[in-house]
Amino acid sequence: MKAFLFVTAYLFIGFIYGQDNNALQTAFEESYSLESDANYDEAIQKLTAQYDPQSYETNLRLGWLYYLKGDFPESKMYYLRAMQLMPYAFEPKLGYAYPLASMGNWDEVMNLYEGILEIDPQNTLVNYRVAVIYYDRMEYDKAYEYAEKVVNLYPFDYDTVILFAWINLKMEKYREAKVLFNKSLLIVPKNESALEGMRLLK
Amino acid sequence: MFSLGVVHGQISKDFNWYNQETFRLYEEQNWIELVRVGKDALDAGHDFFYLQLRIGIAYFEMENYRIAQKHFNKAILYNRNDPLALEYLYYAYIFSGRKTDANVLFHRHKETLVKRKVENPLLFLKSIYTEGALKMNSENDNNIGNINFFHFGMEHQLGSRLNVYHGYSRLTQKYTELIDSISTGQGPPQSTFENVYKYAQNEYYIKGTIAITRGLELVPSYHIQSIHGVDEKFNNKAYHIGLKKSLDKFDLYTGYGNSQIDNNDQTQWTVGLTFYPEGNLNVYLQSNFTYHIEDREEGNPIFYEKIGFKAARNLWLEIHATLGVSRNIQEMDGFYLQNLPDRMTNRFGANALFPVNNHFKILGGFTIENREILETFGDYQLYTGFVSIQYIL
Repeated sequence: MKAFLFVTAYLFIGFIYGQDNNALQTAFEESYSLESDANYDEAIQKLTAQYDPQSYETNLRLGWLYYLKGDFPESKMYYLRAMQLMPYAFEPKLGYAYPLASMGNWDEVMNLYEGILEIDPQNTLVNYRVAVIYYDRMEYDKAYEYAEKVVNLYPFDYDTVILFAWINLKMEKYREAKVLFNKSLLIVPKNESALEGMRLLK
Repeated sequence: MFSLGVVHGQISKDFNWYNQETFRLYEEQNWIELVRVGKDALDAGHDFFYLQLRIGIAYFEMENYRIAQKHFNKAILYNRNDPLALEYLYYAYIFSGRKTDANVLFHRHKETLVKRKVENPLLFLKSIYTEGALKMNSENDNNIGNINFFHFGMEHQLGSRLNVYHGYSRLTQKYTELIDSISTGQGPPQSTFENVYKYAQNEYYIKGTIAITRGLELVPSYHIQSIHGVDEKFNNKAYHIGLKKSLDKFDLYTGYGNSQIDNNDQTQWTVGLTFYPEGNLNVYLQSNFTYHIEDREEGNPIFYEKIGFKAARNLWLEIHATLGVSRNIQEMDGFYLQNLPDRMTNRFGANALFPVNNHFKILGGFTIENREILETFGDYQLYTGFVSIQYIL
């Protein structure tokens, strides 16, 4: 009798769990489709209907959807939960930076990136983003330091090469800037940014 | 129309709405509405860099530099090195007369602000100031000449937190003594001799302005007068210390001064308030209350009121009044050390300030002082006209 009850309960829980999993997968699938139609409210609704606060994936996805919707405080909240659930993951931290950047709270973004670079100093995405922040702040020496790391690792990456070219131009390293603008024209021929840089160098 | 109103009323004002609306208003340069919506957003608990920056720029464009500063300062809490916010904050300080804060900000963010083409304000020699004045007596007494006043001074910036102004002044007055010759009754007719005397006063004044924290300044000063009379020579000495705190639309001031004038001890306390109703220098109202005690006798309360306003593109006008019996007091952080022997019962005046360009400022003014002769209690007026030129490097 006991064995029968145990097996029944096991099957019942398995059934419920399987149903939950199916519902969650459907919610995620629908949310992707709604996101591609820019219907962020409904995409969020699909996920919140299946919301489990302990689900890293759901929190991360909601953080992204709220970011796309433009509700940055909500986006921050879900990314923060994802960060708490997976404290060693870079993924939610990089996501958390999106709403912060959109609100212009760059000091917090920098703290976040510095934390990532302490663990992974060669992280190309973060090094690139930090270089962009310093470039916007007109702190070209610092921007140079971070962009140089990325350009050494990915010498044929357009975004990094063109950024590094502009940094060199602003630092009045005209010869290096010219070489870099020419390189970027090999990666993306006739790109407007490089042509503008070359015009300034003449 | 009614249904539209209802629909409008149902708009959910969430973060996204405030963010987009303030951005739209910023792009449309609708500054008044931007301030209103921005304040709404802050009241609703939304606070972020771009919101503070947009509100700050809106106030700046409406020339309310003092309130703009508050928002730029909050914006840089989120993004401390943002070149745009820093540049706006710097000019908001300059245009509202808070040069000390502007200097400290420039020093902290020199690299960024230089790249934004902000001129370095931290020059050793910042400005040169000269003033000439003439004081005339209403008594038409030919024996007492006019008082001539001349001043020349220089302003130095020593680092970012210390500004020093010092200068030399000279004050002269001629008076004539008529001496009747003794007549014997048998000689030629009685004649009168004239003895012309010159009274000269040489002065040195030095004042420091020390930035303590944002909006808080300590202003110590020292003033010495060296007096050469007919048969006398002595010095008057004075020191003064003031503390000024800038708030949103107010400057609060308190000061203490002590001096030795004609060997009499003078003590004074001042509290003051300057109000900038529009958050800029287009209109300002200044009220000072000074309590002055001479030689530990009964004190005199003195009220000073000034209203200044921008009358034209390059013209500021000021009118001022001083009420209350005063004598031997220090004014304008000890720049003026009054040491005429008579009492001033009240004073009224007007000034005009012409900033010719970014380097030259001309200031002219006229005052009427009602005075009382100490011994005879006789009344007379003293008319003063002055012109000054400031050259800013």
